[in-house]
Amino acid sequence: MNSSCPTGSCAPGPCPPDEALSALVDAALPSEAGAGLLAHCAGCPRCTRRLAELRALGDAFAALPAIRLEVDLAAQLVDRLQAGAPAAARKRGQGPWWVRWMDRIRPPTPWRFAFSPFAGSVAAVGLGLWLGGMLMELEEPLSPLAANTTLAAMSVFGSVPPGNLCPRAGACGASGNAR
Amino acid sequence: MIGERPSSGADAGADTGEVRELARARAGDVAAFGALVRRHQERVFRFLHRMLDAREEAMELTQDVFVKAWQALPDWRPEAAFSTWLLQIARNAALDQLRRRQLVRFAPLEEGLEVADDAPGPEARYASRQRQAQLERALQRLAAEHREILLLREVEGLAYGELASVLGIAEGTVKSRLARARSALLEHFDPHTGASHE
Repeated sequence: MNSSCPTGSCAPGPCPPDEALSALVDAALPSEAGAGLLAHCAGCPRCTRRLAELRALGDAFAALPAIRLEVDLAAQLVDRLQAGAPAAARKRGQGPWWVRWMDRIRPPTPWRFAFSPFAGSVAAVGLGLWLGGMLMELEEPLSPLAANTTLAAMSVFGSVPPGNLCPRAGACGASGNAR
Repeated sequence: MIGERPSSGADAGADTGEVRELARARAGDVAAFGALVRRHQERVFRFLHRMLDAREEAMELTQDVFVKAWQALPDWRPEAAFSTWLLQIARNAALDQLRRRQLVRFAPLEEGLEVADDAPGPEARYASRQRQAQLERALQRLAAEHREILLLREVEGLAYGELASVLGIAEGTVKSRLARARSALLEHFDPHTGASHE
């Protein structure tokens, strides 16, 4: 309520903002400020009405029916904590430094583990070993014929680039490759 | 200080028994934590119930709040009032739940604005029930940040400093937000007649 009161019916000074009236209702204003506001409201029907509304709002809240839990959650929780969650309060944050450090890095549940960096590292190492193992299995001893084929294929890529001179007589074959 | 509404501190009742239970619970004593749950369960549940307007949901969330509190108990410092700290956890849980709810289903605000309680009875009693129902409906129409601050102040009686702590805002902001929340509620609800302003 920032506007001034209607002419002729106001206490001196402009009408206080809602924030001040709200704080007045909460008893959150210093005594002097509160007294000043009350004096203003006494001469200002508009502020009197607003203050009455704010107070009535508080009364309406106070009249709300009680909400009861009607269940002893504590008993259920104690069972649950004793069975499932082993004293997080005690386990975490206590013990020697290395235990606390392990507590921080150890994933507490399988699901958390599945999404942790550990799972990624383990998977990467495992995949590497598996692929390496497969390559080792594929690498069988070559038969003499296969070895010759391999050597012939490799001779295509000679040590002397095309057009270069042989370093010594007889070092190059017909194709110009080093022997 | 001038005004009518008392600002009862949330932890005015934190007696030596509670202090002992807190110390034991922090050392890992589940039974002591159970005693703390018994002390605070009604308050946490009431706040969640009014925030969510769903009993079962509030009950489940109340359990979750205490489980979270148990897990975070080593981080709790005695400088922060335990009940205020619990309400802070409850408030965060309620906001998360409201966000999830918005993702899962769309609940039109205009739905069911009629007063549900039409049981016969004395006129005054009926009017009172009607007013209560309208207030509850009007509360659910407010933005969550307005609803929570009104519930914490008007129902739970938290002081401005405690509100600032629970909501994570400055005391000056508490004052202005509370005033805005009251204005917003008065747009939907007439506290004298209980009529809703549609």
